[in-house]
Amino acid sequence: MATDREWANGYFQQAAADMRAASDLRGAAPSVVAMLVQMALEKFGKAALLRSGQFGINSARGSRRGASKMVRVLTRNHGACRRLGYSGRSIEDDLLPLIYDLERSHPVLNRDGPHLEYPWETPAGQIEWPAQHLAVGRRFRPENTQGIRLIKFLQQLCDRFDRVFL
Amino acid sequence: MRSIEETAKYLASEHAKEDGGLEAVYWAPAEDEVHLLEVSSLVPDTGEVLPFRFVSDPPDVPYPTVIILLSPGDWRQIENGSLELPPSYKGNLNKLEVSPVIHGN
Repeated sequence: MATDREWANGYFQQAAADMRAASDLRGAAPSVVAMLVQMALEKFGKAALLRSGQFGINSARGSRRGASKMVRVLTRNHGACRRLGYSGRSIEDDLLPLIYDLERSHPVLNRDGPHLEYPWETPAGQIEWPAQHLAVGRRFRPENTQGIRLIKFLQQLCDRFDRVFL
Repeated sequence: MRSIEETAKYLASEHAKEDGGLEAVYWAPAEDEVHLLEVSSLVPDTGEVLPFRFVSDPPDVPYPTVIILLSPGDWRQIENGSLELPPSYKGNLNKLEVSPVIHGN
């Protein structure tokens, strides 16, 4: 039977792979980059929760809000922010709103859309889809630096995860 | 070096300085770690209890720290039993006095 720590490593490694894919795609398909960044965030959150020693794999599988809570709690930890090269305030003001928007666009949390992965029907009966119509996806266009800043932050988190979470 | 309890109080006061919505901080005594639960009106309801464990940061925080951050709504769910705390927190919470802080613009 695998330990929570082993599960945490699995989630972390896959989050790192999602981030590499997001970086490779950057500028080419903004809504797909947004989806990959949300997927990476969710897995980083689950990896951190599983490392806490207080949260098992069954809880982690069902959790959808771990990423925003992870980053929100991180902003209270001066040492962790310093090791990532950020201030808590800059993460809270600049990055957290986009993280909340990505999280809210998860198909499970926003079943009727708009969301990151599938088409949805508007109240007026129109079919829309992420690549064309997802507002949060536009934040990952090359000319929008907020998405770029979030990717940079997540790459730092990926590189220094062991220096932040025990 | 600070004791675990002193570190818990230090962290509570630091967080109170920065979080204008902080309503309560609880400390759950644990061996070799600081376990805190904080209730803040600045966080949204999630219906989940999500603990995060951070590495130590000496000299101010010489122990690993586990923090659970809850909205007042999620805290009410703890109180009425519809949400559950992790074992190390359950029945083990001590409310810490948090000095009132004036938050300017």
